[in-house]
Amino acid sequence: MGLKEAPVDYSKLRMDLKTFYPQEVLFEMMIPRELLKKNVGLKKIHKLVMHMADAGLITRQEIVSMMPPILLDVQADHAILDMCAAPGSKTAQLLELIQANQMLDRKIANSVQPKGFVVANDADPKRAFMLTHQMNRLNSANILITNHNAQVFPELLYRDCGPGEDRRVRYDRIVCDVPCSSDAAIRKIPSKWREWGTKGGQSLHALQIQILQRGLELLKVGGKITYSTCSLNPMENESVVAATLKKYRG
Amino acid sequence: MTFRVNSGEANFQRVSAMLKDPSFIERFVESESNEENATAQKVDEEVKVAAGPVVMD
Repeated sequence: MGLKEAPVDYSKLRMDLKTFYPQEVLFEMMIPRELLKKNVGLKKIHKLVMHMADAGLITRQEIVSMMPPILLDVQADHAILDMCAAPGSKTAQLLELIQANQMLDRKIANSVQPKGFVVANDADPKRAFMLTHQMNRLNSANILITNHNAQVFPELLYRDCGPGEDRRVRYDRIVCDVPCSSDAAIRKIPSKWREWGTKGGQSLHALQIQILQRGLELLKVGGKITYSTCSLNPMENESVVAATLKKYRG
Repeated sequence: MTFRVNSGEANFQRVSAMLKDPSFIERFVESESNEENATAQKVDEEVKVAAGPVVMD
């Protein structure tokens, strides 16, 4: 009997709540993805999940990918930059955190829109377009999508400023999730074992440093930045952070 | 598969409570099946009415 016809005991299926995430919103469905897609009996559940995602009620995302926004302690009035944002799951998470904290914060609960915003950038036009499509689901006015090389991300200026105030946008929080060799995806995509080589990480090292350093230039004094990749290679992780700390004597 | 309920939505706590219910999946599948059966029965009846009374020659 194949996956398609395998009998399923629905009474044993659960949405497992992950309690480490704030506000009890993170769930793991304890059903393998392939089974969910192919099994006749589970089709209804699969459809439900797809509809909820399309309606912006839920966002499918791996737990590990949720870590950078959680660590940033986002507040409702924060200016946030997501430097390499596509496909946009972290951007969605940042927007949700702004919106959620607005609802929790009594001081600004009466305003129509939160003061905070996310600038979501991606260097690839196609991926930036995909990002726009993803963000439409959330129906938020607090997002700006840009298409620039992150290592030379331009200065944005506030239109309305008091006399003598600095018009340049400086960010309270920055997510720096840089392009990488993605070799940690080996656990999901076994064919990557055959493609792996030392050049993958080395060739991106310089670009990764440039992007992180541009992020630091755009960060407010006292702001927070996360640096992340989906690679296990130290050349793309510790080495990039070490080179940056050395340059800025951090 | 992991997913996050959008905490920026006004009624996210209701969605979260629904998903936390241990019998949610079972009840959802059951209600969908009942709905499908009811729809099939209704269509069947409508077809019979549209076809008119059975005339015995």
